[in-house]
Amino acid sequence: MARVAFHDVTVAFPIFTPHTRSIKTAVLTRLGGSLAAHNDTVVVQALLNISLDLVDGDRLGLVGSNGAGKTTFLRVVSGVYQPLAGEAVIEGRVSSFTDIGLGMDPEATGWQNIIFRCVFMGLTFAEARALAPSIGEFCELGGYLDLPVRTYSTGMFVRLAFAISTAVSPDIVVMDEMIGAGDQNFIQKAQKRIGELLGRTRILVLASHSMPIIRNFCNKVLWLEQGRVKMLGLVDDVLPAYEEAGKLSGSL
Amino acid sequence: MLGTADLLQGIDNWRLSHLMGLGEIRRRYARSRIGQFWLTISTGIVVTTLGLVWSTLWKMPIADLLPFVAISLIVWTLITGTLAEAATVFVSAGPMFLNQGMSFSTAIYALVYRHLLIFLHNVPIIVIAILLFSVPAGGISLVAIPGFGLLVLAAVWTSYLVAIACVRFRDLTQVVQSVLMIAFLITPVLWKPDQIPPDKYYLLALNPFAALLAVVRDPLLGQLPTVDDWISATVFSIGGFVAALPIIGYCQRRVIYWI
Repeated sequence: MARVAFHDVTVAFPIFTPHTRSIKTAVLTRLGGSLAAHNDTVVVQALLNISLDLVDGDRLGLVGSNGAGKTTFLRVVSGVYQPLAGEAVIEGRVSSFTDIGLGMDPEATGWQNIIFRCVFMGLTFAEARALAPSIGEFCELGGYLDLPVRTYSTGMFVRLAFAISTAVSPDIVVMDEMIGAGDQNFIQKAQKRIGELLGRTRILVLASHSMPIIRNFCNKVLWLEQGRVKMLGLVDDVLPAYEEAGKLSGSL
Repeated sequence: MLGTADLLQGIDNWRLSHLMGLGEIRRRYARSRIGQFWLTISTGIVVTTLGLVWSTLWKMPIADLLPFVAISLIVWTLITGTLAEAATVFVSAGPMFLNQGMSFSTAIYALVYRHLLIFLHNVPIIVIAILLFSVPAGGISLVAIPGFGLLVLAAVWTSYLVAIACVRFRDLTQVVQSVLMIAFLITPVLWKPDQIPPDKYYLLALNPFAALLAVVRDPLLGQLPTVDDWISATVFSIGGFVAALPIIGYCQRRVIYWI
């Protein structure tokens, strides 16, 4: 069973200017009382008191304007950020689709990269080798897989990265906008594959600006505004309100 | 304890460290015909030149000086290469840490591992120097193994602390380079410990780099390291390791916000 449980999760980023970042300033700040007044660390509040509980079968869509905290939220789920206050319990193997080329090396061949990327996603070398033929077949790159990846076109690279990243079945999938790949022929195949993966995974957390995609893949929606929960609930409850708010601010 | 947990998670993640360490070397020497053996060649050239110049300048027999310089310089490259790169390791692995939750020790192990691989490429030069100048290394040279273990242990915790400090205070990156240069000059790498006047000998005892170098180098030259060297090296690498654990534990959830 997979689980994502947030309890009053708060994430804030200290922004260090060169001034605060130098050790001299830090030492002086600790030493002198008056100097503390010059301590100009700016703190950006990215998430504030977020609480929610996701269990098997939950597909959460994240909506909100730029800077609302969607990416930060995704990163807390992936275990990148540990909340500075509150508690985030993540149970299950997480796959983050925020950078599907992570761990790949342009100088290595396609086959080598299949192994690298699979291992980065948490497989053992033996598991990766067992999975490699089916990935090679899916991406339809044929003889190119024996060439260094740097010789690939951008589209071919994305196709390979997509094929590898979607080959592993995690418990929790974290995604920043829907991923897809390829030309006219490949794109349908890719859509089918990602659809299957998202159906199979226990929990999905997907941030997107596309309402059709949220409706298609999610059953719950979290609407974030300036790091706070504006609304959390079923798709049919939250999305109309969100779209209404979007129209209002758009007409202003 | 948090620091221990982080270091253990990194060991659990050894596959990633292995790939990251190897990948960096592969990228650096990609499309080169001789590839990573350039490491061996360039070290060989530096060692030979230094041996020749030094023995001429100081009128010392080259058979005496060259094996010493070869081992010192190669071990020193391992220490200084690891620490110099530790200063930027979290920033350069930043994209990885921002996209996938994993312990920071993964990057530290990858760093130490990569420099161990580079070291392995230089080992043939040590072997050649020992054989060529018939250094009476013999069985004593096996004593270098525990010495090397201490060195690696020290490399792990020092580079972890350097990495944490440098990602938080970016100015320190420059300071680290200068400190390593000073350390290079005050450590018997290019000169022999017995060249230091006896009344200044305590300076060597206070220098952990000198002790770590001695416990690896001296056995390979057929001499047993002094008890002082053993004590100094052990206290530094094991004591330092234990002292570093709470710092690593305290910083591990903060580092990501500093990247």
